[in-house]
This record gives sequence, C-alpha cells and structure tokens, in this order.
Amino acid sequence: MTTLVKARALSKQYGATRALDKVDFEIEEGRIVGLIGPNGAGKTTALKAILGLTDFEGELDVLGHDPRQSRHQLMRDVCFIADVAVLPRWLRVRNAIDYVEAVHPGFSRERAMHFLERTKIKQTSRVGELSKGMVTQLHLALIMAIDAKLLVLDEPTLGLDILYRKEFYTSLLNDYFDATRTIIVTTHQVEEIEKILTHLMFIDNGRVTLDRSMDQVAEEYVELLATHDKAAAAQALKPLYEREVFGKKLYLFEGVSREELAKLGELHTPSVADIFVAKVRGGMQ
Amino acid sequence: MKAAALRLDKMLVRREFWENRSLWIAPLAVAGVLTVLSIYMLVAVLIGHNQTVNNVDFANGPHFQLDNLPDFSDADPDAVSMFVRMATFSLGWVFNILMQVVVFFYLLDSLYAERRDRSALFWRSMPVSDLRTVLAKLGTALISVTAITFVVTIAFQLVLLVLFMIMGGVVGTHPWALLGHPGAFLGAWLLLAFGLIVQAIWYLPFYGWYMLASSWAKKVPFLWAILVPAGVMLAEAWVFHTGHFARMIFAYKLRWLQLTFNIGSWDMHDLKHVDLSAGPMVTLSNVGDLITSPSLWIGLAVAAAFVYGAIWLRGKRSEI
Repeated sequence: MTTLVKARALSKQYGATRALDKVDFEIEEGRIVGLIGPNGAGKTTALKAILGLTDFEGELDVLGHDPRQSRHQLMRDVCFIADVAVLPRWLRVRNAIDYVEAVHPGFSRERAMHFLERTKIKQTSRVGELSKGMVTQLHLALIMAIDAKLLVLDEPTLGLDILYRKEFYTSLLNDYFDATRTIIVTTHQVEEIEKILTHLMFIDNGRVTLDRSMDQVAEEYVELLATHDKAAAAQALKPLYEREVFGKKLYLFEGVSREELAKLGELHTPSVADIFVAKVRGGMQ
Repeated sequence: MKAAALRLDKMLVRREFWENRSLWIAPLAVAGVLTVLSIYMLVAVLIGHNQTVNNVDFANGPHFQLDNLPDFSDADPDAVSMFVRMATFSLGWVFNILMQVVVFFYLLDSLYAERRDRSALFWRSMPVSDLRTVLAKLGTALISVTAITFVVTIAFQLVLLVLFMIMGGVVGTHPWALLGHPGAFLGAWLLLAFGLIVQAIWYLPFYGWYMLASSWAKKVPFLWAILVPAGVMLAEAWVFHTGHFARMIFAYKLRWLQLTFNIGSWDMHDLKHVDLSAGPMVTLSNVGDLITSPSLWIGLAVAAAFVYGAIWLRGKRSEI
C-alpha cells in the first residue's frame, strides 16, 4: 500500500475561525474516500491544501510533494474538479481539448472523445453556449481523460440532472477507477456515493470525527429499532443518537456488539447520512 | 522533453489569442477600414483629376496636389529610401499606437479575467506553473506589439503601394520606378522591426506594472494601474510642489526613441517645438548607447520586480 496523502497537525486559520484544527489523516492508493461534512466544516479547505491552492500550517505530503511548493508538478498526477472551478465562457469545446492535450502529458484525446460522445455537446460550441449541466459534463470528460494517480472531486455533480449523476458515478467506477487510482470526493448527496466509497471521512468544526473503511463502518455502526419498553436498556448502552420512528425508538450505536443489541429489537445497517447526522448532532450535544 | 515544453508554451500563447481576439481583430479591422478609406480617396482623386484640375480640396483639409507627387523615374536612391522610410514609419506609428492601447487593456485583464470568470482554478488544475503562465501572457503582449504591429503595417503598406501605383500611373509620375529600389523597402522594414523590438523591451516595466495591477485588483484593475501612479504624482506635487515622478515617467517613455533613432534634433524640455527639419527623419543611432543606457537596465529590473509580484500574487489569489 502506498500512502498518497499524509497530513500531520494540518491547520488553517481564517481570521478568527479555525477551518482546520490539527488534523491528521492518511489516504492510501486504490481508495475512494468520501469526505463528508457540513458547510464550513473545513472540507474545501482540506482539499485546497491538498491541491496546493492554499497556505496551511503543519505537515502535508501529497505524492511526495509539498503542495505549497510545487503545485504544477503535483498537477501531473493529481486532477480536480471543484464547484468553484469553472470553464471560461469563451472557450470552444474543440479548443479545450486541444489545450489540455498540449499541456497535460497524461491526457488521452480518445478517452475524452469517448466520454463526450455520450453527450450532446458539439465540438464547435463555446462553453457560454452550453447549459450548466453540459459544462460540467465537458469538464468531467476532460478530467476523466487524464491518467492521474489522485482525482479530487469537490461537489462534481452540482447542476447535473439525476440521470447524468447516476451515469457519472457508474462510469467513474467502471471506466475510470482501478487499483492504481485514488479518488477523494465531497458531496452533499451522500446517498449517491455511499455505494461506491471504500472509505469514509467526516470533518466537522475543523476536525476529523470519523476515518474508517466502509467495512469498518458497517461493523461499528448499528441501527436498532426497539419498542419503548426497551428504552432504558438501550439508553444504558449509550446510543450516539436516538429518534422516534412510527411509535418506536430508533437508536444508532457506535462500537456496541450486535449480539447484545439483537436482544433489544431489530438491527439495521445505517446509511452514511444517518451516521453523519448522528455524529454531527452527537457532537453538538 | 524540449519539444513538449515548446508545444506547451505555444499552446499557452494560442490560448491567449483565443480569449483575447481583439489582439488580432483590432489591427485587422483598422487596416480594413483604412484600406476602404484609401480606395475611396483614390477614386475621388482620380475622378477630380479627370474632371477638372489636378487640385483637390478635401473639405477644408490640406490641399492635395497631384502635380506635387514625387516623380520616381530618375530619383536619387537616398531620397527614395527616405521616402519609403517616412511612409513605413508613419504607418507603423498608427498601428503601434493602436496596439499599445489594445495591449494595455489585454494586460490589465490578463490575470484578472480568470478570477472574475472563476476559471482560475481550472487553469491552475493543469500542470502549468504560475511562472510559465504569466510569462506566456507577457510574451503574448510582446508578440502583439512587435510581430502583429509589424505584419499589419507592412501588409497595409503594400496595399497603399498598389493604390499609389495606380494613382501615380494615372498622373504619370512613374511610381513603378519605386520597385527598382527593393533595398529601400527592406531597409525601412528592418528599421521598423528593430524599433518595435526596442520599444517592446523598453516598455517592459509598464507591461509588468499592468500585469501586477491585474493580479492584484479585486475590482477594476484599470483604476489600480492608473490611480496608483497618479496618486504618487499628486502626492509629490502636493507635498514637494515638484513633478519629478511624472517627468521621469514621461522622459522614460520617449527616451528609447532618442537612443534608437536620430530624429532631427529634439529637445526633451521643449516638446512643443520639436524640430524635425534639422535631420533626416529616421536613421539608426548608436546601438551601443542604447545597450549601455542605465535607463534600459533600471527599467528591466523594475519590470522583473513587477512581473515577479504578478507571479507571486497569482499563486495567492485564485478567487476574487
């Protein structure tokens, strides 16, 4: 296993706000990591630091580079789409392909054309003439045609319709991803990506509150649906979170054995969104 | 490796011309309009010539006497050379001023537009360093004020030459004799090219300043580029009641011309009475003086500082 990203005590201060507060994490090759957090939690700051787009304190190693020093070298092996990185309106589709082909050694024109063939985008159009969804499709086609070690997607499907979003993640998995590639993705549509993730990372208030493989997550987090008479017993096991559902109690447990919980009621595997809400709410209480 | 680097640089410059079409459309449009005007004038002159006298009054303009057209049949080669030079430099002057204005606006936009349209992060997601990007933009400006100015000037001059031949042919001043002096044209063009290149190098601190303003401004880089030096001038005038800074800028802007060409005698402190009659219009002056001029090297150092600042700021500011 090669470690692609290694952060030690990574911190970033914006005025009085601590966007990142001494964060440690590692991202290894071949993973698809979902970076999940509420707005302003520090997700984008973390990504920007990895991409060399912002200053920071602490240590950060991305593919052997300090991203602050050598952004352009890093970009040979790292690709990203950020919701704030927009293609300029004057750019023609054909010229965009020519441009990336000339400046990026890892770009494959065939692959880009392959992705574009499935869309209605015309080669002669200017970006300004395309719909918002089409611009994103074009951007994704350009980026996915690059043979990169690390792909960073920051809200990649913003503005796309459901059909294309599904298609995008499917093709990301089938046409793009393999054991030598690594993807970090952030999105608010957690349910869309939870099936493709191998790892999950929560960021809240500038701290990493969860950093697990999806297998570990499935093992550690259990949802219990119990009747009210079992409430006291359930409470004793210190649930992360509880709420009322159809006259029953729904609890979310972290690191409590399934056998013990099975005695109290029905067990389910919680969705990432549920765990996320439990973690963030739990942190607030 | 070298081929790939060259390909990359070429693409960076091409990208600039995609975004900033005015860099080539503006000179072509002006040349086109001037061509149409010239043809119109030629027709008007020829009609006037055939109808009445060889004296056309262009609505209170200067009298244009076809009789006074130079006859080239047995002209002195030096005179022909001077004539061609004057013509080349007058035309070059027009397109030079045009391109300086176009490039001024191009550079003000060069590092600001990508932040305004939020494409900066797309460009910076490519393996191209800020240094290379900024230098490609500066290079585009230099190509525009030299190569484009040069090519358009010469193309338009050739159009005028054809019109001039037609006119002279009608009047009978043997204009085709001009073609017997190819050296005169070649010499004038070389001189023009040299002048444009010297000027481009000489103006680097201005170009660098515009780029710095462009990478700095969160709004209207034009105002930063203009108001900062204007502020310095005003402050100096207010505090010291002097105008050294303004005079220095102005003198610097013109100094290259003095060092490159002999243009009559011309007194920097009395620009209202420039005496062009004292000497030939343009001949090359001592290039050694140009290269050893402290102004040149101080200017280049200032330019380097400004460009470095622009590169540094591009790394810091991806968003407005």
